[in-house]
Amino acid sequence: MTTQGIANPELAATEVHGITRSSFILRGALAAGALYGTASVAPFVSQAFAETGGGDVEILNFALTLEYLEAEFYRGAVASNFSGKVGTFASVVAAHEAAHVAFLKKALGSAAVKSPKFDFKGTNSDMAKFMATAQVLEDTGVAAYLGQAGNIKAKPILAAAGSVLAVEARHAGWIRDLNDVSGAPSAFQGPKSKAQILAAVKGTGFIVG
Amino acid sequence: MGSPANGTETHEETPPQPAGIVERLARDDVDRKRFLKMAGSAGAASFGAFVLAACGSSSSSSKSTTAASTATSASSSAGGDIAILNYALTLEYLESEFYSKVVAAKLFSGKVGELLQTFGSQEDSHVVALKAAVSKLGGTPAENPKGKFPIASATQVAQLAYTVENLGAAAYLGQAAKIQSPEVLASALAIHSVEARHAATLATLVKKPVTPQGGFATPADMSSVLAAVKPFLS
Repeated sequence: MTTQGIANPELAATEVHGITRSSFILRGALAAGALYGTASVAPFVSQAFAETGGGDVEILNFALTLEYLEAEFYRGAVASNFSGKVGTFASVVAAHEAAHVAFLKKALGSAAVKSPKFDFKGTNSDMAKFMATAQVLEDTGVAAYLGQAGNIKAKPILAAAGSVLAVEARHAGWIRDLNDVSGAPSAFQGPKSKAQILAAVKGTGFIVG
Repeated sequence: MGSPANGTETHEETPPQPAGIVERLARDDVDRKRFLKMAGSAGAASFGAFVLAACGSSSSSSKSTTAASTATSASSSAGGDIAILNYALTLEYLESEFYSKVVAAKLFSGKVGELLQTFGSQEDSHVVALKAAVSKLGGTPAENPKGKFPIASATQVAQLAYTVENLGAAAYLGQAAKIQSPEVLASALAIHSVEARHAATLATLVKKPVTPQGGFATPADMSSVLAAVKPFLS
């Protein structure tokens, strides 16, 4: 991967203690995204796309669709102003999902799908419904990422997906704890295929356009 | 990530660092490749040998030995995956041992006690799965290292569990992009996602941040993880 034509090429030269430059690529880019902004980071990912073909574009657009859904769901939850721990959960997670959307959109550039239209049917304005729905969404999101990881061709994109998956899994653990159920219901979480996920999403009726 | 096949990795100047296993591993990519090669072979079955393999590596300059090391240490994809699985197995052995000591100490009761017991048995399942995965690839599973964990009070133990789970999650993430086999990757991520759930649960228990790295989890490099677990090896 070259740094030609990429703004802030010094990002490629950065060495973090304990990491060789060659294995740094997306880790540092993600961390540096906070400093440099996702606009500087995304070209590294975009270049990875160019090098490995279109399959990863489809996978990331699938991820983006799910992230659009989560981001909008949590944005609505924040607007509902839940109190206490649930309110904190909603606002912290909302920020993460928004960041995931931003990252994926920048990485995909003009190839990014547009956001569907959503109607969450009161599931993010009633606290009990929110808590139950959030748990399902987070568990599903993790399963979706697990289902796609093996299909990703470009290593930097796999690293990014792993990074997001890890956070979605934490979200799942968190809301399950708030729901007073085990954060880890099983020793291994199984993947779900794209077809299974899309069917599940369709079943919610949240996508209305 | 640069692949061994390129063989054109350059190494930039790094700031002066104190000598030591971890620092040598951190700055010398040659050492890491040799280390991984040894760890992946049938010879380095114990974690002690695993760590010694790092100690025993030469400290010659990266530039002069890069080409040679690329040729000699280019692991087969199975060899690389075996090394990664054995690394994960070692960490899982430690986690499993930690939880069983915690449960035996009877510092927790009720829901928290059950939770720790459940997490421990999940780590046991991870051990079983990883051993099988190594064997399936034709490797020798790493031995169970002897661990030593301070178990002083419920508060201290819960905090340590939080630290350990965060470390484990980051360790898996650090290896994901290096795994060759899609099957091994699927197993690693399936386990990794559970470690992340553990970390989240323990965070709520000790009232620490559930997502300390924000929206994007950062991976931990093998050398950082090895450095962090070293105090827990007896």
